[in-house]
Amino acid sequence: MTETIFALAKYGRRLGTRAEGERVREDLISALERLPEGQLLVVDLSGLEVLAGSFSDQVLVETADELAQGALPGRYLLLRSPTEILVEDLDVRLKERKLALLALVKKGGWRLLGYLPHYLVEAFAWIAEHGETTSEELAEALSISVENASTRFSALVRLRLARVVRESRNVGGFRHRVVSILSLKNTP
Amino acid sequence: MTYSPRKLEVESVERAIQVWTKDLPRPLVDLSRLERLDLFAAVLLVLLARRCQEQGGRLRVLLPRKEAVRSLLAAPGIARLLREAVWTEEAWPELGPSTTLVDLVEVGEEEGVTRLVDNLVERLRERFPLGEEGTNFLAGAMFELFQNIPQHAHLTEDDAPPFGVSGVQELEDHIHLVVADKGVGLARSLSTTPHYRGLTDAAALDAVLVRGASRFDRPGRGGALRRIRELVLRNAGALFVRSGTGALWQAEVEWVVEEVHPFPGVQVSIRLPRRLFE
Repeated sequence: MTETIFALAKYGRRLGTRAEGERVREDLISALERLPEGQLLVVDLSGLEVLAGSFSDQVLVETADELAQGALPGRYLLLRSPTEILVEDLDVRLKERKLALLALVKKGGWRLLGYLPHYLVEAFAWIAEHGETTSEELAEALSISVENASTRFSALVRLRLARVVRESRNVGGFRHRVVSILSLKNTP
Repeated sequence: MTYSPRKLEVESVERAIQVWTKDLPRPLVDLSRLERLDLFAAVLLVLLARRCQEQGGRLRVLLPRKEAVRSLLAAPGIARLLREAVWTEEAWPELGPSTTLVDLVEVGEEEGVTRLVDNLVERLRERFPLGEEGTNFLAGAMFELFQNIPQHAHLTEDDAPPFGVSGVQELEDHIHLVVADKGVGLARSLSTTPHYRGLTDAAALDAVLVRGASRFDRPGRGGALRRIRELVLRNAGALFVRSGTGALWQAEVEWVVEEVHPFPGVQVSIRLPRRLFE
C-alpha cells in the first residue's frame, strides 16, 4: 500500500479564503474518491506559508466532518505539516467542531489536532505505539474492560483515525485487529 | 470656530467623527494644524469622503502644514482614494522620499482577497525579515478580516456598497494594520440570526469579540474577530474595533466596550509590536 499525496502548495503559498477553499475541497473529495478502499491520503502542507482558518475550515474541517459521518468509507486522511504554526488555526477550528485529524508535524512525531477526549487519546497513543492491537490487548494494557476497549476503538474508527482489519483465526471464526492510520503510511 | 485638531489617531479620532459627520455631505475638515495622523484616522477620512460622495456632496479639506502629516496623505494608496474624492484649495501633497511603509488598498470581492494579502505581505517583507509567526499572524488576520467585508458588510441589495479598505503602516515601535468598511456593521450582520436580534452595537461587539458570536449556526464559521483578539492579546498588541455606535478597546489583558458617535460599518485597528516581525 502506498500513500497518495495531496499537495496544497499547488494552490498557492498563502491560502485563506473560504471561496478558494470550496474549490480546493472539491479536488480533495475527488482525490479521496479515487483512492482505493483502505488507503490513506496525505494532505501535504509543505511549501505553504499561511493556512488561514476560513480556508482550512472549508477544506479540512468540512472533510473531516464528512468522513466522521460515514462518507467515503475506507478512505483515510492524514496531514503532514512542516511547522506547528501552520496548523494552529486548523487545530482551533477542529476543536470548535469537536473533530480530530491526525498530523505529522515536522519530521517525526504525530499530533492529534482538534478535539479528542482523553480516553480516546490514550487509546490512540497505544495503537500508534504498537501499530496494531486487539480489544483484549488494549483492555489489558490500560486496565479497562474489553467492552470499554471496543467502544474506544469504534470511536477512533468512526473518526477515521484507525481501521479495523478482520482476519480468520486458526481455531475458527474471526478476530478483529485495529490498526492506526499511521500504519497505512508508506507500507508496501 | 472651525474644529482643527492637532492629533488624529485611534485614541483621538472620536471627536473628529462627531464634528465632521454633523455637516454631511459637505463637512469642512480642517487638518491645517494637524501634527499627528495615523492610518486609522486616514482610513476614516477615506470612508467619510466616500459617504459624502454617495450623498451628493464632497469633503472639503484644508490640508495639513506639517510635512510628516502631508507625507502620510501623499502615500500612494491614501492619495489615490482621497485626492479625487475631496475638494482642496491647494494641490494634493506629493510623495517625498519616505523611509517607512504606508499602503492602503481597496477591498472588494472575495476573489481578489488572496492577491491583496500577497501584495501586502510582499510589501512588508521588503522591510522586515517577517518570521514564520509574524507572517502567519498578519496574513491570517488579513485573510479573515478582508473576506468579512464581502461576506458580512453587505446583506441586501438595498444596502449601500460596503466599500472596504485596508492598509498597513510601519511605525517606530509597531506595525499598524487597519481594515475598515462602511457596511452594515456587526449588530445588523448578527441580527440575521434570531438569537442575536435587537442587540445594540456595543452588545454586538461584546458578543462577537469576547464571546465569539457568529451569524452562522455551524461552529467554526465566523468567530474570526474573537480569534484575532486572542492573538493580539497573546502578542502584546493593541486592538480597537468600532462598529456603528459601539467600540471595543483591547490593550494588554484589559478591554472595554463603550458607546461612540455613530459611523456606519466596522473599522478595525490592530497594532503589533515590531519585534514580532524582526
